[in-house]
Amino acid sequence: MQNDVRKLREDRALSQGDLAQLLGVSRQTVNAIETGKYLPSLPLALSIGRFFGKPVEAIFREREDVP
Amino acid sequence: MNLSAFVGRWSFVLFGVGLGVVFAVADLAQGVPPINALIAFAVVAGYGLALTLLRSRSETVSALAGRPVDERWQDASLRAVAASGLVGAIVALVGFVTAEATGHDGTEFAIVAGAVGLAYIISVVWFRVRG
Repeated sequence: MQNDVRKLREDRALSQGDLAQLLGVSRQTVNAIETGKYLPSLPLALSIGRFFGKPVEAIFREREDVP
Repeated sequence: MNLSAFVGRWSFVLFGVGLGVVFAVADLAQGVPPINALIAFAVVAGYGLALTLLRSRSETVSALAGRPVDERWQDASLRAVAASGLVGAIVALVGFVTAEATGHDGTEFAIVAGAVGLAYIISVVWFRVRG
């Protein structure tokens, strides 16, 4: 999976810590999501989508190099 | 702070102290020198106290103390428990085979391996039912 969380966060001039606090998770977890090391649960993905005002599938998608 | 909040905050310490007392009493019952029993108590109780005092400073320590800070740490904790169970099962099986092969009694290893296997089967059935 890949996602646009980092871009969306930076567009809003938020730090990882800011976003983490808003979502109720740790800064490390935000970093892990942005780098694709951690796939968030459905409730957290929905929270991320709600926060950025986008549907989940507009933020998270399958990697393009995966058949 | 009410009683439930106190117990919630210090539960890991209380568990460590309780386990330490059990270890120390077991040592003393076997005739182990009191200083060794005291060390056994201090190690177990101290581990619980250290994790409780340091958990607010580190997410890793918080997870080790059984209080993962978010879903990612909870996931990591669950996987760590699974890995620990797997290692425990392997050690029990290797211990059983080694004990039997060298003419020793492997019953204790067999009991541990059996308990781990049974717990796994019951867990799979339980979580299948629970969804």
